[in-house]
Amino acid sequence: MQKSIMTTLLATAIFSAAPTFAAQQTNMMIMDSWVRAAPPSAKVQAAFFTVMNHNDQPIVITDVEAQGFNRSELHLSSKKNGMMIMEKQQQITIPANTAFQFKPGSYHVMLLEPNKIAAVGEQVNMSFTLLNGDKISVQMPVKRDNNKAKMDHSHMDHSKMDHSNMKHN
Amino acid sequence: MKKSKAIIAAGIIGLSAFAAIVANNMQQPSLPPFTTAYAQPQQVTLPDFALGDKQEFTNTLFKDKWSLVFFGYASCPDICPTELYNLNNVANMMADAGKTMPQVVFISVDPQRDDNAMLTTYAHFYNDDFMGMTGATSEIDKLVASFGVIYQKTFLANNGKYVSVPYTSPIPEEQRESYLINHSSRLYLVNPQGQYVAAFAPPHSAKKIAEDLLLL
Repeated sequence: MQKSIMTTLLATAIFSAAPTFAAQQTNMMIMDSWVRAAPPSAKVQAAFFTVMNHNDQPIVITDVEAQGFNRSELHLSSKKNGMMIMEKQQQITIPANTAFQFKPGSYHVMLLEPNKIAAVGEQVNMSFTLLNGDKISVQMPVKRDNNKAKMDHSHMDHSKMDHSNMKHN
Repeated sequence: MKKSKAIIAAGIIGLSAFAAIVANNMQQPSLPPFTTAYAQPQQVTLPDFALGDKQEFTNTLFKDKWSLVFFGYASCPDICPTELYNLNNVANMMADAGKTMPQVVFISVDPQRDDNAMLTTYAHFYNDDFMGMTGATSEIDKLVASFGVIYQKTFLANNGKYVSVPYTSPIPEEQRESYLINHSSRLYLVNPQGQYVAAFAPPHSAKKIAEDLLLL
């Protein structure tokens, strides 16, 4: 009986050790990620997601690559002098212990020079490079903001998006 | 005899002046009390313009229906798609309420990269009723001036800083395809007399826009 408890404890220790070790490298999750569906005639697309930084230290994203696009950049949309402007960010800092949103009208990944515009239902493989050299890969589904036909209200709130594509690293 | 002619003449002038005032007032119906849209202090009659490959889009585009006008460009990754998806939500809300959605007109200020055929498919991706168009910068700028739109070309220079220049200014060869455009992101309401009467300032909420449009 005691032996079996010991085995269980040992197993728990091993199992919990593995993710903890990985987490010490970069305790970060990318959730609710999606690439916004764009017209086939569009020349760019944008990707949105939430970065969960579970560290007591900030995480700095320095680069991003996306399969199927020759260029990907970290961008920020904002309002300036009465205009909406977009500016490339050399890096984006995710403060410690924060859920940081990349969302329409704010921070986003701009996907340029597509081989082909990614269509609804497809997945875009993306890889983020962090300042400490770590790379984080995420597969992002392509989705519309809303449907052309009769609107499905459940799609309006992105917080209700499925988390099945959640990635741990 | 001369005197009576003068009286008749004065009467005609007076009547026509009165008629002009009446006609003018008929052309400028008062707006409902909007909660979100900013009503223009005075309706702005739009100048003659011609957009489209065959200059087929003229002032008659705005006749006899309400319109929502947005200026942008097809290489815009965030603001323009956000706006068009948002307007599709507005259209759905209007349909739910059994009301007619104003016609949505997306005007590209980037004719160097966008053409009318692609802007039509671009607009239809968001909603089959939306219209997309462009034209000569000189024609676009007539509307730009009336609506008070501002836009400029912007690109990342070699020193890592953004440089903004007027749209028609020359830019470095390697930037010809990759420049961005800073632009106003107001949504303009045009009445069935073809006058610019109100604007929605960002950030745009589909619900709030629909609430105002339902009052029309």
